[in-house]
Amino acid sequence: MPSNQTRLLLVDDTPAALKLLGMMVASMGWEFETAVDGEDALNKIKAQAPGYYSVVVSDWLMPNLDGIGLLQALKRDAERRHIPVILQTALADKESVQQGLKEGAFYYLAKPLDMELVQSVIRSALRDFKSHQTLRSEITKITESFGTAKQATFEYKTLEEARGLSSLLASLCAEPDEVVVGLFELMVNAVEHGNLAITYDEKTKLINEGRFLEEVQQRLADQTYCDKFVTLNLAVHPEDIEVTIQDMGAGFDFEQYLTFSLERMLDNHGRGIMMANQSGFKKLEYSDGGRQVTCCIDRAAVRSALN
Amino acid sequence: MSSVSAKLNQDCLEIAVDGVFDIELYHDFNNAYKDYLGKASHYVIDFARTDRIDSAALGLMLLMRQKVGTETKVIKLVNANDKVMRSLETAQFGKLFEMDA
Repeated sequence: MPSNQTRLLLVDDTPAALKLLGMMVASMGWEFETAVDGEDALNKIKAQAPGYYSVVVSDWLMPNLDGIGLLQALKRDAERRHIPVILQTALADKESVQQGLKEGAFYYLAKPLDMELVQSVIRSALRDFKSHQTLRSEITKITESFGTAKQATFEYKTLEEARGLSSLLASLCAEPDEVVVGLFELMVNAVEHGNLAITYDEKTKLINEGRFLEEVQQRLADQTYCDKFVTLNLAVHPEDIEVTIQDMGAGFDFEQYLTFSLERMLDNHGRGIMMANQSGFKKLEYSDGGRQVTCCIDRAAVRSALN
Repeated sequence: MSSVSAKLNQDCLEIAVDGVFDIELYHDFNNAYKDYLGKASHYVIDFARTDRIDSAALGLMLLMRQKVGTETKVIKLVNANDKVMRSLETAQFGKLFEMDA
């Protein structure tokens, strides 16, 4: 569990600047640690649990790894990208400020530092971090409760419901990110091509014309389709989960979509089932003329072990 | 919350995708380059902050490829993480786009 304690990481290659910033932070009663450049900071952050540091305040120009480099490295780390990074620099040009903000900096502080501004920006970043932590902990509680399920049945109609449900189901596995795409593809397919009867050629045309999502929404509201839903049955075993997805459409010729096709290589869709099929599921079987698909997912599997 | 941002750097349009690149970004991704068609001669899609992509995202990239011209590999895909790279490779995108790894 992430630490609830407020702890800042101050990063600057100039000892005097670091000392000054440290005094500003200490006067607010915030605990802090220091790093002498971006590389040192990154090593310290990575060595700790993701919630250990609440806010990073970093200089921009530093040897080894500069402030932007540190920011980019943190944003690439899914578990640590929510740590607010405040950049400080004497670089006052508009381009630098824009670059920092574009890369996801929480705020940009101009040197020389104004004590009141520094403190109020850090306070705001801390609030941001804490609300993120609270949300995260609530999500963890929900997914942990869901982990007690042994069997469940869901009915969904929309792509948004498919997205949320696929994430929830994936949370039952050790590496949710590794299985969520495959599950989502199968679940979306049941809506688009199953219940809403959007044909392959129709989808090609709709995507080309930029009207695809509108068409999905229209059909979801249309009386021909609005009562149709997808039934998803879940069976949870210690080693794996089995998911069966049943739509109310007319079925389709699924065989041709299971593997890569050179003829369809340039088509703007038609890869979802192939992506699911290659995502390392223990089993993926269509039945009932394509209206039903069952997949079995190893709960412990991580991709590197599968390759 | 996923998002798309675009920036014209001389004649190169740099598009960055944050978060999950799936059907939710359908309009955002299409809008990111549509005003630059003809103005940019090269395009970069930066996946540095992209967690994962699905088949709808692959479709959107192919649509972009079709719209900017398909004669040469003018669209470069960069900074893909392992998961994104696997999806790109599954669809054999190395044959259609320039890739940095």
